[in-house]
Amino acid sequence: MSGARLISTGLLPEEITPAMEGVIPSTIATCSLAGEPNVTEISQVYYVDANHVALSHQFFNKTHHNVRENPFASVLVRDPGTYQEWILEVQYDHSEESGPVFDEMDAKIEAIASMTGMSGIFKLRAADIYRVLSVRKSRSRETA
Amino acid sequence: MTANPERPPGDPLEALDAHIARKSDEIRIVQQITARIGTTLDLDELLAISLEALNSSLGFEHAMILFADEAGETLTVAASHGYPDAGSGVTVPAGQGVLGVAARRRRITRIGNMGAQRAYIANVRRQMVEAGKGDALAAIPRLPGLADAESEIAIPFVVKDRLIGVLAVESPKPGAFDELDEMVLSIVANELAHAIDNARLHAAAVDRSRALDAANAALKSMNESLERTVAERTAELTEALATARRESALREELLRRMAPPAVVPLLLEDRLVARRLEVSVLFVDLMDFTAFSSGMEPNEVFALLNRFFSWAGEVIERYRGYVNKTSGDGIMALFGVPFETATHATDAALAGLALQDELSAQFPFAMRVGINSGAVTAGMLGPRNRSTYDVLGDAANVASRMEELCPPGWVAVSPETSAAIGPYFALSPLGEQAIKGKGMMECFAVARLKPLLEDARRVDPTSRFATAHGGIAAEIETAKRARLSMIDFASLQARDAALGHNEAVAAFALALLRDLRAQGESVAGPVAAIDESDLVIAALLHDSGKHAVAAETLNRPSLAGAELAALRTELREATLAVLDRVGFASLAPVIRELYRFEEVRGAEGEYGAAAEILAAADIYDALTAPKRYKGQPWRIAGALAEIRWMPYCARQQRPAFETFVELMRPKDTAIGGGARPRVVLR
Amino acid sequence: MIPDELVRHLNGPVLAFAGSRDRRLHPFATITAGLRVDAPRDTIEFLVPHAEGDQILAGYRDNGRIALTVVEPISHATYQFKGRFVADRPASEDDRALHDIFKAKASARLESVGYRRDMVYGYASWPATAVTMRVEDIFVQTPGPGAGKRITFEASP
Repeated sequence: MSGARLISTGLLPEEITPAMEGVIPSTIATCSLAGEPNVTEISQVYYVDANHVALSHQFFNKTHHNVRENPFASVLVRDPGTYQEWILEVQYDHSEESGPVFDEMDAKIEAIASMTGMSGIFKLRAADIYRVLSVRKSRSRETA
Repeated sequence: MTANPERPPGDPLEALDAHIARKSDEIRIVQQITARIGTTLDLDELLAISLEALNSSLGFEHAMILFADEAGETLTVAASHGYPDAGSGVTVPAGQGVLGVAARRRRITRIGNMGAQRAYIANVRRQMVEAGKGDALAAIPRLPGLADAESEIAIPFVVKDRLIGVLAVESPKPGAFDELDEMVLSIVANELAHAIDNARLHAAAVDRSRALDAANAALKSMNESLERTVAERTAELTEALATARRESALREELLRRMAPPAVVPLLLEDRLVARRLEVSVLFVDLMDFTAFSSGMEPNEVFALLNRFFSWAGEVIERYRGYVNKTSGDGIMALFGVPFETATHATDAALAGLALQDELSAQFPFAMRVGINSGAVTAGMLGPRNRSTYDVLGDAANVASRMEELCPPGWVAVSPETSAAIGPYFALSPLGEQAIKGKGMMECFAVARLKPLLEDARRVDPTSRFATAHGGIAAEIETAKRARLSMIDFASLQARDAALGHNEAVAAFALALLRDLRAQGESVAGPVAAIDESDLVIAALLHDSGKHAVAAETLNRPSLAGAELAALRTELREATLAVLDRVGFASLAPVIRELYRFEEVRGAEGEYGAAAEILAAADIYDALTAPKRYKGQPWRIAGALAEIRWMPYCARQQRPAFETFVELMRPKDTAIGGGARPRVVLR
Repeated sequence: MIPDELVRHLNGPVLAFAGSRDRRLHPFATITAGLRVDAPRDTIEFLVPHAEGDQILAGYRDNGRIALTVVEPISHATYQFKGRFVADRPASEDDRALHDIFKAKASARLESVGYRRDMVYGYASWPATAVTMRVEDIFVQTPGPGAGKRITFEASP
């Protein structure tokens, strides 16, 4: 997202940013502390900086619950132009209920929600911030 | 959904070339557009020119401009380009849709996935309706614009803190707009907003003059002066436009200055990495500026704010702070960047006090200042091409909170900052305050630098200095103001957190001189020739060369050997140069002696009585100073024992040091031991 | 027995993602291509493509826990099946037909809303390993207020 980008040697390449515009849904895998894997489709993984991504937290769900007891997660994001799939290993870091990252996500969600008469109902509770541990192109695509 | 045709080719170098080429092209085009916007004061023509230019020069085919009503609650389409139906007069409530949210929140909002997201949320809506929860839902609004828009950027027009409208650009392609588009459009929108405001003022002026014209139709003699009024008003507004453009150029210039000078070389070589730093963050906010500035012309508001920012920036830089952003009428400054310093907290507190002290002489409004110290990650932040040196971390949020809870005219500090500055500053409790994410925290307001007699780390309240020489601190202040007003001691001392050091050394030296004179002839004789005023000036100026020495060197924790000798020499020479400049070159010999005494620890040769007096005072105040690089400060008794038994004093009797121990020791505490040395002064 | 409504969902134009985890409880997921439901036995057989299948299969053989999320991509109707690993075997020629039909259905649905054909056909989904899972729990995961609800069904003996 445009609010923040560190010019450090980060893990996320420039090339991945289209896959984080939320055009094609993303997939996230998490695991409870009891060892039960969970796979969920999410509408957007937000680019925070070259080492962090954010997930919107609107409804309480299993993903939200799992990462708070076991922070490791795996995320699949897809480029809407090339359909390239990327695999990110991430670690839940913290949750933000204000600040620039939250505000930008909240404004985007509110903008769309208001178009569908869902203002105030479909709203951002928090931005969950994840640290990126690794990123690579998925071998599931024939060639990119 | 289709592939985005704007995507750069695979080779990163080619992509970079293409990106740079596009950037410079667009900047050139933006300059052309803003120049054209500035050519008219007619509102309709202005809107038409702008929309046409966005389309033909920048390729934004679908764009509309909406004006906000007085309350900022309703937006009305004023002009559009690239829609089958012109749509003029269609209204949108603020808060609805991308442009409505941009207007309500007064922030640029850019979305590239409206189709997917809308389908997603619509599906949630359907789920809710099916679950019987449809009653709670609002009707789906009908909004102007493309029915199948995938991408949209909406930019609010804000002038004088007032929302006057929105520029919205749409595309049926997903991900059609990037950060560069956002930057380009925000520049155009900013120019446009001011041009619209000026055009309206002009229209109002023309209306007014027309009314006058009608009323005075009979009075032909008035016509000339009326025309002149209109001409003058138009000239004024044209001038305002020119001013706005100059200020826009100034802002661009400021944008280029996007990082502290120290990191610019790293930036140029692309070697700046984000790093974790212990810093202090300072927030400044003007009180009631909006009310104050209402009724002012836009250029007056800008000029006033810019003058305020320049002034505050100078004060902050004086204490080695870095203004990393201004927002509205507020400032965020960082201390301890880009490289960590030992003095960031005291620097920030001094800057806060200086800002409050000097404000009233400069500006007719009040200000709140908040400070917090803590770890942040610092680096270049922001969209491509527009990144600035900035920090991330909770510490900034807490500082902002301190500013919010600060009483007007004060400087509020968090517990972290108050712990760091407590030894130097008198603090007033602000009570327990709720801090988001931290719970309740005990906060303080910085009252002032501690007066010498209140400074328990320097002066024991039962000591002879406190009980018999209580008035000396005031004498020193008077001398400082009368004879050394050209020297800014606070900023000098801030460089190595030696706050109050010069004044303390002067007060101790003067008290010591007077106590020596009160003794028998063998002691009093050698000090008889010392001029009190010279001694005070020498004490005050003894390290004034610090301004010329890099703060990093002054604060380096483990300086020794050749490096330390080099620093001493550098400091001495710079100090002698200051003496020369301020008209006290006659004190050079005593300062040279003082430096020699401290360098060889008084071991070799003969020293004049004045140098010994200064050395006792200076060494004592250095030992008790809580400078970070010294580790834990000495307590008073420990410092005195060190002075009493320092090798060079133990071997050779030096009444200046003996008397100094008596002067400063707590009443009921014996220092050192053994027989009192024979009192002989060479 | 897996309810009829879900059997219809599984046989519809869907995308399916298999999830697993390793001993460190690090999770991972990959797309699958081909589902075969045995409703009376509460089992689902799905094809794990080899492209990203190693970790997934190793996790199944090691700890037996499986998550399978099946999404109807336009309505976002989504169900997640949780269960345990029963067996795996190399995918056969019969499985290849299942795989081709699965992709054809999903692609037809996605192309109807403007995705290009290579959205689905660009996935390297063959060769694959067929994994059989015994379904123990089913959850609604369609975005909205009902998300997370458990579907009660009578487990087969």
